[in-house]
Amino acid sequence: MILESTGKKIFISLGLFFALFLSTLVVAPMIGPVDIDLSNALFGENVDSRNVDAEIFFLARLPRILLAAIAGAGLAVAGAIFQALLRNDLAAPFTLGVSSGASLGAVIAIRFLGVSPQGFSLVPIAAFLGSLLAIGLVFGIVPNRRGELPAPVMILAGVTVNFFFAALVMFIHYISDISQSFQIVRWLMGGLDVTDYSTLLCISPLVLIGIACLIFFSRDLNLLSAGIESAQSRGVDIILVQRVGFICASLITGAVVSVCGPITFLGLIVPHIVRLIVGPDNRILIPASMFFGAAFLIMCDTVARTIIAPAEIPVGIITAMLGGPFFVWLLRKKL
Amino acid sequence: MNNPNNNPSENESLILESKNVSFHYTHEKEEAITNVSFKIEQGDFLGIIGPNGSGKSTLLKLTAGILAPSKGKVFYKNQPIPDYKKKDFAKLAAWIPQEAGMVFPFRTEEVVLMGRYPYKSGFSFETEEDLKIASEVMELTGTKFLFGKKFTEISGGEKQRVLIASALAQKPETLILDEPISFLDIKYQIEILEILRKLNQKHSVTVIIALHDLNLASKYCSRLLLLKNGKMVREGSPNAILEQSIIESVYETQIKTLIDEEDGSSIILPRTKNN
Ligand SMILES: Nc1ncnc2c1ncn2[C@@H]1O[C@H](COP(=O)(O)OP(=O)(O)OP(=O)(O)O)[C@@H](O)[C@H]1O
Ligand SMILES: [Mg+2]
Repeated sequence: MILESTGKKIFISLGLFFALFLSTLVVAPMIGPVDIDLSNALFGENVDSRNVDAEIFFLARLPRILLAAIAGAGLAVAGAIFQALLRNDLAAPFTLGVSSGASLGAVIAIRFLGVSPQGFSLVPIAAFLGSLLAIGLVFGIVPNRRGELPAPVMILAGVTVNFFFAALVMFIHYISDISQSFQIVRWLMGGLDVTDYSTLLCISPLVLIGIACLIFFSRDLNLLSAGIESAQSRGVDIILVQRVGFICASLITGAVVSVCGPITFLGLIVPHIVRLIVGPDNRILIPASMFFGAAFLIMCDTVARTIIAPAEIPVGIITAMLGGPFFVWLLRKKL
Repeated sequence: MNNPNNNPSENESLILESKNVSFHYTHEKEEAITNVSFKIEQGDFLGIIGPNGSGKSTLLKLTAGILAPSKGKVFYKNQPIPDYKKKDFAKLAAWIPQEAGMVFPFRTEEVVLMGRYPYKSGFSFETEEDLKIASEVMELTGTKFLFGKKFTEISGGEKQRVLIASALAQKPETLILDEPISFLDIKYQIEILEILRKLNQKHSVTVIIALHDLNLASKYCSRLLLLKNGKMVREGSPNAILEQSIIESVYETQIKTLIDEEDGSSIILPRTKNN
């Protein structure tokens, strides 16, 4: 028997996922309805004070691909964390109602605050506030006197918040006019098409700091995911770790959803696939999910941008179309 | 117990003391543990026995600091358990659950290495020493052959042995075990109890163990604590506790008590209804 330190294994497995991420990051900007010349985009001269290749590369494709990377990484890590904390491998970033809260916020903004097609939009801000409201509700309902967060009660509270907010969303949708209704439906499908660098700058710090924080607590998350009382008996501060975990994962999810809408299934499948490959050790699982989630969403978005070009499909449809069959396969495997 | 020095703060060998401890699960009508007091000295092998639902698991969780008493206090070496830093206490006492409802497919050696948690901080990986200790305790518990297997895919008895290895990786001076042999066949029951006896006698590890098998409790424990409905019925040497009248009334079952001639321990035999 050779007992090996996880430290050695981590570099091999993480290296592979990082390489995958890097290659999608390099290849994806090349793919699109218009062929661009990369060397011209990067080093070319302006023609008539314009460089079309550079414009497409830097203004249309790159921010969108970077947003896909951030969103994919965030949702995948949040999924892994919710699965560990709830000790349930069918949990996802949206299990605790974060996305329905964001949807409610977005829908209220679209219906009542009016959104100008150009210029500053209130939708992401309202969506983020909505996600905070959902998190606040779940954390207001659940903790008992000792501040514990029992997993089954968390899930029930999340499901309840989800249903309640979904009903409100439907109600507001029902009383909307046609053009609002279209915007609502479009928002609920999730997409990456509203990108500029400022949105990217708004959510990246939150997502990246959240992930760093979760990686720091990954050993504690391992023990917690193996059993709450065992973790406690080994000296894990379970209340602290649960709080940090739930709050970071919820904020990451809220930030991503407020910009991209509820991109479904990614947060469920990515941690699953990664766990099948590297095992459940969160010290590897979290960073590997981060890279794979980013790569996966970049790939899905590339498909969404190109498959019916010049039109686009909302990326949420692509992730769900890939995710649905996977979910069925997973359920059948478990039976 | 026959130590003339009654002041706990001056009693060097006192490991654990439960003083008038009661515990009440939230939303439950009745207390699960009512006013239980006892002392455990270093080197004790204390068996906790009692019918299903009598409060054995609850009492063990109270002594392991997992549950905090609603009334009374549990002292470890004369210091209330909450006064210890969580990780420091985990280096002194390890707890092994009645069942480990593990969802994720951790490998057996990963489960064992989780026992090293109290010795680590922040984001870090196992050191050579951690691996050496894990290897030793897997050897000791006969679980080396399970190396590389998923914890979720081994038998109930194998799980219990891996959990024991994991607790031993904590290098505790006190082991608190909740029915660690309930899924084991007789060979492994004896083997685990022999391991515990060896740790107890050679390494003076104090053992607190909930057991259902009264005969094994009689043979291995130095003292027994009998619970019923959350109250301590009696505490003392196995032969004093396993008296026919006591056991019959607590378990509401007809039994007879024999004496094993080899070691003088009490043996409980059930009396079937039709004789
Ligand atoms: N988490 C819980 N919440 C509420 N009540 C509980 C909980 N755990 C145990 N109880 C109750 O507390 C009492 C004591 O339970 P405990 O598990 O300590 O008994 P036990 O002696 O270990 O039983 P067993 O031999 O079946 O393991 C029982 O009445 C039980 O129903
Ligand atoms: Mg029990």
